[in-house]
Amino acid sequence: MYFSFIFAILSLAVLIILAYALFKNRFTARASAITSSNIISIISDGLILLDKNAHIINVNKAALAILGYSESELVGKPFCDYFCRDANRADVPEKIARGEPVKLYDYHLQAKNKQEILIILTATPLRGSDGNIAGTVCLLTDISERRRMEEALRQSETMLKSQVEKLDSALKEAAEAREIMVSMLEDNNEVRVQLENKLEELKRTESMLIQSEKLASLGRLISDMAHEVNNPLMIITGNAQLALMEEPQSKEVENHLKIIVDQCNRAKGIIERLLKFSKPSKGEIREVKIEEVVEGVLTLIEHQFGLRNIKFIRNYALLLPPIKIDDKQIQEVFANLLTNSADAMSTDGSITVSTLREGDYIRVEFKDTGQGISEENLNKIFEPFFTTKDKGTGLGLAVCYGIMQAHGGQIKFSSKLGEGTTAIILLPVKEVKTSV
Amino acid sequence: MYKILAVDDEPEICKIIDKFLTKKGYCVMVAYSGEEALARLDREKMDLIILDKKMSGIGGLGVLHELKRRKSGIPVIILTGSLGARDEEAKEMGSLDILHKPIDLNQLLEKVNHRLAKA
Repeated sequence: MYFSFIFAILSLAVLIILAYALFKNRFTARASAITSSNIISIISDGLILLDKNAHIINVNKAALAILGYSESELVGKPFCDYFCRDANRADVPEKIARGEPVKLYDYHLQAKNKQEILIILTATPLRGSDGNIAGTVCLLTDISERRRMEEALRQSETMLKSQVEKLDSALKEAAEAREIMVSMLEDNNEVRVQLENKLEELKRTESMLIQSEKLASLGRLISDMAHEVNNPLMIITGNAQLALMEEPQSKEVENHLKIIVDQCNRAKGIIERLLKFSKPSKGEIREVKIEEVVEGVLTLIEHQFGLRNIKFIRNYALLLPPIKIDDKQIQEVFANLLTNSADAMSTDGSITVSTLREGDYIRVEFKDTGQGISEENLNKIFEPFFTTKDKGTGLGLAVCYGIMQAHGGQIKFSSKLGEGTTAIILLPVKEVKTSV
Repeated sequence: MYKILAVDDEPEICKIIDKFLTKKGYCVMVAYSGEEALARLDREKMDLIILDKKMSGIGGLGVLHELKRRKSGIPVIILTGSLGARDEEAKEMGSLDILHKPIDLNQLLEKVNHRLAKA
């Protein structure tokens, strides 16, 4: 019984072994047929079969294409003759010989034509039924082109990045340039406004210089003329005075002679005023407070102006420094300007009298609510004998001009027709020595 | 009798001053230029000079300058047809009075009397 049981088991084992062997033979035969005839030849990656001594026993077409060798040049040769040139991977053949699986990326090979190629090397050991290394399957995936493409892509990316950076930088520069341009445009606008203002100022200065030069020429002419006229006047009045001393003479003759003397004195008065314009000189200089000088005039005329319903509005600055002037002459200027303001209003109105400090000057303003002065007339206002009044001599402002010149000051007007006039007087805080 | 020298390049003016002051009891001599006046002063002593400021040649200021240099001390009344800073110059050079043409003859007489009374 015991022997029959053992026999049965052994029989079964033999059957199983036979079945396995049969099956395995069939399978191997099938697999071998597929590998050698089909699979190896059709796969696109390179495939090299090595024996247990790492000699090449089979190479597919793809591997030949990658390496550039013919099948006969490779088969039978040691794997290392072709695949061990990558100095960085010197241990690879040993690993393969030991049956270790290897997978290496970026494995360098040299093709037959000396061209460097880059592969992914996958070496898988094949073990025999005894478990020992029977051989190795090496799979070569050529990544040279991919790497070139990657490199090209990287370069392209780098270039693109660089271009983007350049573009970025250019955009930034453009933005900065834009900002600068906007700023320049704003600046330009500012510069343009400044230029226009400067031009306007220059025009005013030019106009003032022309006016000033015109008045100076007129002054010289008047000065010469005064001397020439005064001598004959002196002869006429002198002779008339001598005649008046003669006895006897009729009352009528005496009257005629007196008229001659009076009219000569009148002419003398006109000439003296003209000379004040043309050759101004300061008289007695005193240190005074400007509001006291103004008040001195206002006190004299306030009642008279009040009858015409003309009011004064006082607007004096506090703590103005005293100034050295001929106050009599300056009062003459103020009286003249105030009379002109009153004449421009006839009745009802106001004159605002202001004093203030303006740099090195004390500014006195008389602002009236009169009819104003036309621009054309403003340009002639200081010319001797220019007047718009029926009974004016046209010497008042000419004299004012001369007095202000003698004081190193200024006199000017700001006016619009129908809106009134502002007369502006500027007197230097520090006395100016004029040599007229 | 006080001697007065009237100097003016306008003969008619010299004539008026001469007639007027002669009537008032002064001895008046005339000169028609600054140079002539100085020449006259070289020859003759004068008590007062009535001098026109603006004349051709050295003019009234030139005469004043020379008188100052000579330290003559003669009082001078200046007649002028114009106003100006040179009036101050004339005062500095010794002229004590300045009258503006056309003058009032009585005013001239006052000045003359006043200066000669002080002299």
